[in-house]
Amino acid sequence: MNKRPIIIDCDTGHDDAIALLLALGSPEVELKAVTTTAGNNVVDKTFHNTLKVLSHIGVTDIPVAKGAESFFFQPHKIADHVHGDSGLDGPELAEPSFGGVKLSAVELIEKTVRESAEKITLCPMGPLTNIATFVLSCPDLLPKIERISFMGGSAVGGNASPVAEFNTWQDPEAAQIVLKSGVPITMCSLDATFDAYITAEEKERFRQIGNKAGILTAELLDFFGKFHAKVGNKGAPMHDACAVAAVINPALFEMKRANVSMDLNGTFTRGCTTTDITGVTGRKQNCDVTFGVDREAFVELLYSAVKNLQ
Amino acid sequence: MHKIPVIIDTDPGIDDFFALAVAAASDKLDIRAITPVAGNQTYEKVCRNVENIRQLFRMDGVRIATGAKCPLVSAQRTAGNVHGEDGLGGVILPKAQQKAESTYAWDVIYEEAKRAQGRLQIAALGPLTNIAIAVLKYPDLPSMIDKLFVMGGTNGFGNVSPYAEFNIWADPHAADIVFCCGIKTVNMVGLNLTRQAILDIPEYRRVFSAAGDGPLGKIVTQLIDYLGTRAHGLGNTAMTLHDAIVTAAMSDDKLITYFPSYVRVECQSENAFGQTVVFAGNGNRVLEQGEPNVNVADTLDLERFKSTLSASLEKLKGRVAL
Amino acid sequence: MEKRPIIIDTDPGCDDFFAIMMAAAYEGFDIRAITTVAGNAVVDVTTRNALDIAKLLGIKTRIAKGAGSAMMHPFDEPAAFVHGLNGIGQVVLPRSEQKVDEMKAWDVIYDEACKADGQLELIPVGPLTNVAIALLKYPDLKDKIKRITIMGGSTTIGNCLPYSEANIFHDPYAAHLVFTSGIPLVMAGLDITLTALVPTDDIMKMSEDIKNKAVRDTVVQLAKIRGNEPFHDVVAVASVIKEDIAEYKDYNVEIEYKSPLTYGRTIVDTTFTTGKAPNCRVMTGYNVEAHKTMFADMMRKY
Repeated sequence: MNKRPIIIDCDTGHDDAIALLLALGSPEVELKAVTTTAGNNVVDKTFHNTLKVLSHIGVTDIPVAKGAESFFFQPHKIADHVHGDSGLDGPELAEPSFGGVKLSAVELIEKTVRESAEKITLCPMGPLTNIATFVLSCPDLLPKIERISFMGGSAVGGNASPVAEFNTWQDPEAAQIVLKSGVPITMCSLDATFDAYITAEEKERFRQIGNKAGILTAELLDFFGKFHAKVGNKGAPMHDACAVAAVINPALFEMKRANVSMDLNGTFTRGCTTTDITGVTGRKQNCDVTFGVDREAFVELLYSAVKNLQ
Repeated sequence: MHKIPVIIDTDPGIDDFFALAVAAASDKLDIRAITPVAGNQTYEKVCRNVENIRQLFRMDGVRIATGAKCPLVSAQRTAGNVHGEDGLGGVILPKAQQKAESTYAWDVIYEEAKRAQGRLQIAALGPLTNIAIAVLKYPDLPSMIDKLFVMGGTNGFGNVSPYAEFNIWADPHAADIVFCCGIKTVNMVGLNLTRQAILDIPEYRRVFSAAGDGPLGKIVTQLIDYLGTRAHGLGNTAMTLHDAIVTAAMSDDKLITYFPSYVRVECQSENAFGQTVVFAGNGNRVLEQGEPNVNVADTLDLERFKSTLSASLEKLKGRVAL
Repeated sequence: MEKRPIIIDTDPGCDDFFAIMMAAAYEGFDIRAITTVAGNAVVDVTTRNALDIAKLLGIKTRIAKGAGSAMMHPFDEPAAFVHGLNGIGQVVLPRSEQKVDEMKAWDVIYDEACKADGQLELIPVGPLTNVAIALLKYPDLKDKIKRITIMGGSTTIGNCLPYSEANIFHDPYAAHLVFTSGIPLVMAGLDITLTALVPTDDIMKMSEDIKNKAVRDTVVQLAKIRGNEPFHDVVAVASVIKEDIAEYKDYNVEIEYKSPLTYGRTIVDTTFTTGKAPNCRVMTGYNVEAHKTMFADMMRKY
């Protein structure tokens, strides 16, 4: 079977870590490169966390690059209330056994796409700063992007403001540049990702796999689950893993085609992904938006991926 | 039992027609005044419609004030595409003998609020321009109003843009002033609620058959036919009567459930201009928010609404003036 | 004398032609590249013009293509703000065989900045999109540029909106990134460039000194098309050549990119009301006679 080549752009992060495991353990995709951005925490930490997670499960041959330290038009706000001080509190991980590449995130994406014979799918799961810079600076490579499947946004509701999701709220202008890029886009929005949760019982199944990846998953969920239990969510939502899952098997999600454009100038609504599902704006549809997920099948997909790893 | 003193602020509008029918038929409401406001159509048209409807329903003694002709700040935009050029889908009502009085809506609201001694309820069925001017002119007015029902806004998707509903979008600055002015009970009946009363057009015909086949029945049929054509033109086979739900709710606490929330109106955004941002609303996972200022309508007892509509028309059918 | 490495970022454009002409006539410059951007015409046209202008004027340098539209409107709304459909009033230039550089404008800017060891000066005379993309893609670029001298913005009036000048108006987001980059900036604003008029009759006389017929013909045609309107972009180049041709004050300058009424306005804090530190040397006066002399001298070089 032909593996779909993907690049993950992340701000690791508990659910980012699990998204990495999903990508690495799934035969349907091949992880060509990982780039990191400021988001859940500062980029030095998200970069370091990414290296630690990959090292832990013995994956040291994938290029990892450090990306944006700050956002286009607004200062960075970290989410340490969700992910802890390190950006990945909980599991005790050894220091990384390999370093990243010398290239910047944008340069690594550029090089990977340029050198690839096949089209590449991008899976961003943090603020879209790196991806927007890539879109702006490499317009000639956009035809080689199969799709951008990003975790972010919401049609209704939000987690950073009443109407805005954290990633798009952090760098709305970057999100707008990506949404207007003309590349096919899947928006894995909160409308579905909050339902892509893992229950406490399911968490134990991961632990019982007994491999490093399984135990890591369980330990990540031990910490991440505490925050989500505190705020009354049903389980620990695997927001970021959805960006990869939607590439592996889009049928897991209920999708609607819509025009999505960023709210850039709202007093209360800045950072909202304005999602026009009825066509009332008359704007061209540019996104497949997730509105629901087959949760059990999603967890099963993740389970078999984690089982495939060390 | 004391009737509830009410003012209906309205921009007829086909669903406003039914809202006024429900109010006129209610024996629990004492309609003190109707205050027209530019909205679904321009001011002259909605005012004429109010005058004609007052006469049709024999609402003698109900004052009609002079309301706002345009929004506070934003440019005027009407909904002629839904309600027709005259605001009532071309349905001709007998011409009213009596015109509106020259007293301004905001002054009438204040006078009636004083007279009602804290019991006044207001149904705002159009843009909130009149109410906003009233609370700006009379800072003590908010504390004198028992309840304000607003047909407007939404907790979720909108109708004139992805997240904005027409009435609020038509004058968002007025809406934000009203939501934040300190009226102790503001019940926001938004699209998320009124869409629970979306019925097939034949279903509405059944409900409206109570109007009989006399003069009222004929008018009602024409209005429904017009809405049906409009709905069809917009690709729908079903419709709702937003405003009528509000007047039905005024005399029936069991019709709608609400939840309290901090609600603000977006007045800057290009995409979300006129959106009611419901801080405790659907899908919102943010825990920190302002003190609740609005009760957001959440669920509707549809069967109850249908029977209120039928019963109101039944009651009015022998009473229309032609 | 060691030559000063510069890059002209441009959207030719009638007045861009004269800006390039003046830069190329000055022996003290080492023109490391000409980078193009959409503005006076779509970017393919401005790039074509840059190639042909370089050939006509005998400039041997890299010519790199840049952004086709403003950064917040990638690809879907190409900007074409007509100076005549080909950007230079339908004047036809001899066609250059030179190929466009393989690298994009922002990559060339970074490449040359690295080579120039901190000495590179940029002279952007169009929308600032290329410079902004360079800054986004290469976060360390800001420490490698000596100075940016911009034709754009205004302390007083505008030409796209009452207070908004075209180059900033066409990409205020990019301008914001450049103005907040921390790189030393000089702003030749519209209020100043409007004073730098060389009357068409004077240009006609000066052009008699041009020995190269093809150059002379082009100058005459462009000057006629332009009428008695100043060549704004030339002011930026002239001030880099001869710094004392202008007066300057250091001010804080911010870019408005949200308001519909003042979109693209440069907010120059001339009264120091914001309390913010100056980030730009703003041109406040200009020696028009010296400018005319430079213009005349320039003609004699061709």
